[in-house]
Amino acid sequence: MNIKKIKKIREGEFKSLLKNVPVAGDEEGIIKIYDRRFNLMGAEYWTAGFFNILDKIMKKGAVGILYNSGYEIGKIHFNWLKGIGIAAEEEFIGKYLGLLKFCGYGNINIASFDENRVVIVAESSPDGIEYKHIYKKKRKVCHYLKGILDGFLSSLLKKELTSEETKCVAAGDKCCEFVAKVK
Amino acid sequence: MKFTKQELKELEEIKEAFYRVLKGLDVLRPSKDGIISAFGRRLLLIDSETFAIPPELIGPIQNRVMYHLGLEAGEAIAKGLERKPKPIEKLKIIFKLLRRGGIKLLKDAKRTEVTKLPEIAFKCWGYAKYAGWSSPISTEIDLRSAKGDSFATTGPFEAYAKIKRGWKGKVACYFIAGTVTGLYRHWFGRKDIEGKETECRAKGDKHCHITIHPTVSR
Repeated sequence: MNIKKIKKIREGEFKSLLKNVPVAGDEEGIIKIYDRRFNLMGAEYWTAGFFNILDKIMKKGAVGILYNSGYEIGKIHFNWLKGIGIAAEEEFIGKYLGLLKFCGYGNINIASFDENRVVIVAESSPDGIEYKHIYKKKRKVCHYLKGILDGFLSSLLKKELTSEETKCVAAGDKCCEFVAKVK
Repeated sequence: MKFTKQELKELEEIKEAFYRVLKGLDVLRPSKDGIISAFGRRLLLIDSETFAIPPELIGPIQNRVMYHLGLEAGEAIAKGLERKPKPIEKLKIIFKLLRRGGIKLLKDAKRTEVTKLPEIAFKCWGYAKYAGWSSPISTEIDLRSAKGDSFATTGPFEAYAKIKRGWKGKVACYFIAGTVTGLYRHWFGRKDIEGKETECRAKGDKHCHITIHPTVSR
């Protein structure tokens, strides 16, 4: 897997989306990226707030809910991009990271990639940054983003991957890091 | 009391003016680092289908959780829209508006400098339209009786997502009902207000309709 190539594709996709996709609701209040509907959410309630509510009610179950919701969306997005006609693995990953960047997730980089282990670094994960900003409690919180990436990569590699968040901005680290391994 | 036709027309002009201003400013455009921020808040574009979380994940309290999350969202949106830009920020906005839409867009911006209900609400509906939520209107906003409503003239994302994932026969927009309630709680300055979705496209209705009412009369 050529990591530099993935980054280049990510930037190309990001720029192409900026150029071609209007980030604004149409006359009916609908935003579409290609053929899928998207809507704008505040990161403070959608990431940190959601985790906080679930954490209060479900305790440890909160992590699973966010992770599984993200995993599901990651899988759906893989099938969506597959339907658009992308074939090469590098192109899949690069385009998806470009889409996530366009959606406001910031720069997400593949740090290393081999058959059974993938290391991913998120420079400005909204989950981590918003949690740190609002709740100040030091902990790893990027369960939703971790789920999205695992769901997408598992579908791509046709292997069940599961990540561990080894660094998190909300835990005091400079970035968020996910180490995904084959189950 | 419901708005007259004339009142509604004038309020809808505020909504459309704010929509045009946001579009003109292109506030949702991500930065070169992939960050979207507006009104002093970080924002994210979310795949609408995310709102069709399979019920087995959270369980029977799912609708309540989404409603409560919506309350937080409503409060955050209301506060964000009230935020006054710093003088230097305001100057930049004026230049940007002039560059992108000329005097016409600047007039639109002036028209949306509102301080009273229900103009504030319709300005917010302009934001909702821009943010891809749907194109809502209200037919009634009464501060004294703390009654109000929000009427989505096009399919809101939550009903859209749930219909797509097979939800039918019952109301679906719990997050949006919570958000509308959170907005009205902020605008009315009282917490004893609840919202309920009385009509929903997922139920087969033409529109999604959320009504707001006080839980106890004062």
